[in-house]
Amino acid sequence: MSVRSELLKGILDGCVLAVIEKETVYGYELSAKLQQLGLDDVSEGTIYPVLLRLQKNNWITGEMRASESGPRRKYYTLTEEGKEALAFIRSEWGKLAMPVNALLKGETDGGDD
Amino acid sequence: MVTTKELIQENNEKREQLTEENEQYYTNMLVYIRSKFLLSERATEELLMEMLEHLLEGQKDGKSAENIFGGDPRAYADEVIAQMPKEKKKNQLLFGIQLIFSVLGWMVIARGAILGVLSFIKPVDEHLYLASTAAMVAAVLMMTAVGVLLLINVVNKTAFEEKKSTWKVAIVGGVSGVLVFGLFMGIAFFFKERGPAIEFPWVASLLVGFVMLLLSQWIARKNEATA
Repeated sequence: MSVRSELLKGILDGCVLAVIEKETVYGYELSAKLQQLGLDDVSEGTIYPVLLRLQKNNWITGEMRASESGPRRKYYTLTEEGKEALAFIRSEWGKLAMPVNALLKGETDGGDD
Repeated sequence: MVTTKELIQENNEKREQLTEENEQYYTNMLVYIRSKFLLSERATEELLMEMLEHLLEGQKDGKSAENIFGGDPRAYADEVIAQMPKEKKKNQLLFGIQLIFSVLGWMVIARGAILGVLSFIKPVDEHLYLASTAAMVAAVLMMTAVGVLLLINVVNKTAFEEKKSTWKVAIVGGVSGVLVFGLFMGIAFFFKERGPAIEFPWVASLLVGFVMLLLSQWIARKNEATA
C-alpha cells in the first residue's frame, strides 16, 4: 500500500461526508467524484465499508430507489449528526494540516514524489 | 419500498449481465457474505445490490471486479462484513420459530401420510406415545440445526475456492445423511411406545401439519415486514 493511501485512510470518512454534504449521491457517483478530485489511489470498493460505517454512526442515511434509467441505486444524504461530525472533522483537519504543512515544507527540497 | 425478496430476485436477473470473470468474482463474494447468517438480511441484500450495480456500471467503462474491489475478495468482504449491522434479535428468534414450525409441520404431515396409506392395507396404531415422540422431535430438531450450521460453514469456507470439490461435499453429505437416518431409525426402534399414549388419527396429523406449515409461512411474512 502506498504512503498516500495510508495517509488518506484516516481522513477518508471526512472526504466522503464532504462529498455527500454537497449533494445526494449513490455509490458509483461517489467514487467517481473522489477520483475526479484526484483521490484516485483508493480502490473504488473502499467506499462501501466507509458508507456502512457512516450509516452505523447515523451520520448519513441511505435510501434504495430505482432510477428512471433502470438501475437500482442507494442514495445517501447527510443527517444533522453527520453535519456536526463533518464540522468537527473539518476543524480537526485544519489544526493538523497547518502545522504538518509548515513542518514538511521546510524539509522537502527536491525530495522524491 | 422494494422488499428484500424483490432485491434477491432482481439480483439474480441482473447478475446475468456480468462477464464470466466478473460474475465469478461477484458470486463468490455474494455467497460468502450471505453465508454470514447473523447479519441483517435487508442490509446484506441492499449492499449486494449496490455492489452489483457498481460492477455493472464499471464493466461498461472496461473495469474488472478486481479493479473495483481489489485483488483479495475475501479480505475485502471481511472488511465490509465488519461494518454490517446485525440482524435484530427479535427477527433471529422469529426465524428460529419459523424453522421449527416448518420442520415439525413436515414431520407431522409425513406421519399422517404414511399412516394414512398403511391404514388402507392393514390396521395401524394411531397412538402418539409422548416420550417416544419427544425423543424423536428433539433428535430431528437437533439434527436439523447441526445440519444447517454445518452446511453454512462449508459454504462459508469454500466460497473462494478455485475448484470447488463437490464430490468431497457429496460424500460427506451422503455419509452423514445415512448416519442421521440410522439415528432416527434407532430412536424409532428402541424408543417404541414409551410414555403415555394419546390417540392422534392420521387425518388429524395431516391437518395439524398443514396448519403448522401455514403458521410458519405467516411468521416468515411477518418477519420480512419488520426486518
